[in-house]
Amino acid sequence: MTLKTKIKALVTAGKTMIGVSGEAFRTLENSFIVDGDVQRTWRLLSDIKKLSELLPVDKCEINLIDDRNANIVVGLKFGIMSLKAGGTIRLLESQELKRMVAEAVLTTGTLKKEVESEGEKPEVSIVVAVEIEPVSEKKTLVKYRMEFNVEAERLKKIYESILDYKFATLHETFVEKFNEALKEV
Amino acid sequence: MFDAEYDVVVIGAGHNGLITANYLAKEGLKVAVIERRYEAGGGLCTEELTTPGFKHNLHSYYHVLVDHMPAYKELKLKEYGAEYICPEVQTGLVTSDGKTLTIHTDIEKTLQSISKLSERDAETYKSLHDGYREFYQMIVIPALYTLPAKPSERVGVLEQTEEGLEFLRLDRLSPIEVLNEFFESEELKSVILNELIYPRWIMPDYKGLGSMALLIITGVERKQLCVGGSHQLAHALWRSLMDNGGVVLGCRTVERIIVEDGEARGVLLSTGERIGARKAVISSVDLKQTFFDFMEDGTVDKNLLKKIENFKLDEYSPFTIHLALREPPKLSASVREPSVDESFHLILGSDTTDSLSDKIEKIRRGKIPEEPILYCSVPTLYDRLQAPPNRHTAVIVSPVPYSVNGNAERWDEIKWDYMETCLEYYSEFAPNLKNSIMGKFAFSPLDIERRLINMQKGSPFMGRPTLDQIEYFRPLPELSDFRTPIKRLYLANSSCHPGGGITGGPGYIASRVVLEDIKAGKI
Repeated sequence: MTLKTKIKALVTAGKTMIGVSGEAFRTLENSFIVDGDVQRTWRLLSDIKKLSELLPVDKCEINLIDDRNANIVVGLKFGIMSLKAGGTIRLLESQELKRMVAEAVLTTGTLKKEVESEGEKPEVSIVVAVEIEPVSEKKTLVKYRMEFNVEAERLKKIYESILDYKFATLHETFVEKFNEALKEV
Repeated sequence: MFDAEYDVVVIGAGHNGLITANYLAKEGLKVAVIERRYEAGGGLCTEELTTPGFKHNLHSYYHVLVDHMPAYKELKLKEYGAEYICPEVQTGLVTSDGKTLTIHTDIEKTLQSISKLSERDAETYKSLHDGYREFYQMIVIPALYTLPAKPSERVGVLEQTEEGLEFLRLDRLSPIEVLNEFFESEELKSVILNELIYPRWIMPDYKGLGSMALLIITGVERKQLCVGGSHQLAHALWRSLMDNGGVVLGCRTVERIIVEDGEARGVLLSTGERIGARKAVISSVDLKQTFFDFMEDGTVDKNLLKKIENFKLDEYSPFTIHLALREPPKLSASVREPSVDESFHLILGSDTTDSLSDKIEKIRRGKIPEEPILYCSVPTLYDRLQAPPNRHTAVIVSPVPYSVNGNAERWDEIKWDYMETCLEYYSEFAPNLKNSIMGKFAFSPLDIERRLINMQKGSPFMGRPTLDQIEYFRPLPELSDFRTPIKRLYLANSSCHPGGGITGGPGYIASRVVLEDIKAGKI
């Protein structure tokens, strides 16, 4: 899927987030309301360094390349085992105070050998679209959609499991941290 | 020349065969499933064995991987009629001196029950449950639905952390060694070991399977029963297959797999019909039928045949009793612990790990233990569709040897007596049982083999899950990718990873492999 098609697929109409690319093996949508106006919420969302600290993962290192690209290393722990992945994040679209779309392309470190031995790419692409809109003077609605693209069967199964069983907790943790961080913006 | 031609011919309409067929038909392939019996489903059979209106599940009566089975979600099997109930009291144990232990879907309730036997064990159980649950949920269970990794890759992933190394150490032990290291309560150890014996066919002393004890503790696999009986799942798969454009050709016996120029081209039926397969023949039946009965001499390499001959079948066979009841059994022990009466899966005759091991040794030597091990269930406590109003069914499974003193035929002489022995023993715990029986039926290991020839020597797991026969080694390294040395011939049976039971794993993985080969232009 080309970048252009991806962006086209993610274009919104009105206030509803629509347009699933149709190629993602899993798509997730969710929303939450934060205690902050649109300006503060946007400031936090656009600060990728700060945002990386709020992600509900065990490790997240971000190195900015320029204002649209960054390198990222993440680690997520499942009991006795950590899944580590590294790659890039690219900002695909940004409409100030309204919407942004970014894509992370990550190569898994932990299961790389296993995946490659099956002739598959140890890669996952996650496209995240975020939209915000005011609910009141001090409250903002944040909507997001995530599209996961994974080629490797083994990784697909693991991501499915994470999304099925852990995503709700990850979402809650993120919202809690986001609200907390918003107080200081 | 063929009498009929399809893209893919699947041999056997057990759940794995149906799952494979479904996925391939969904991709637009013309698929036919050939089934020897008059009904699809294999071990998923529900029949009115005792009295009309009482539905008995002959083999599998609960399924532990419904939450994880890709086919259940992706093929929308619930919409096709396979609905599941998850009993809250998953397992219960009653000892001969009336002690009880119950395992619940709610971990807190399980811990309460364990703490009555040992506070220390309850704490350890919680710590193991919390420490390993996510690992099993996110990493181990998904691996049941992908091609098995090579041993070095598996170790390589885990040896990077201290916790991973500790897991590897525990895994190298046997389940009983792991449990002895962590727990003091004989009852708790006994429950976990029995959960491995049935329905996972893992014996307490299997070296290299120590981590399976942890799997049970994490509770990521939950016993669930199919509303209306296990056969509903087979029906759902069948309906889904029809909607996807596939067909099941019932009452047809495969005589031979047609192999020409080293490639599988179709099957020859006992009627003389030749059914062609343009892309693939997939065998979801056992290794013996696939490589010996269905093959002309000289088709398969002798060394491979020797290895297949050495593939070890299950170490015990389930002797099964089906009852039609006026009322559910009432356990004497429920006076002190009421929830034990609600146990979906009740373990009797396994007070201590020593007595359990003794009984297993006897079974290995072809003897029937004087006092049986029993796994009892009253499905109608949870699903009213399986019996007439105010009536119940019960199923009792007892691990026994296939050959009694070296003679399997002996079961035809002793099965009714053994049924009475089991009922007598169950009645010692549930005094109302005997007077409640309206109908009874027993199914011996020999009966299993006669009815479902796939389960050779009464082996529902289709190959014991020992270290040399699991994961990358199941059934053999050279067959572990579901391909065979005969081009266009694939496997999708329980002798493959991840093994027997209603996992849907072999069928699912086989479909991925065949589609991959089709996309790559290999077939």
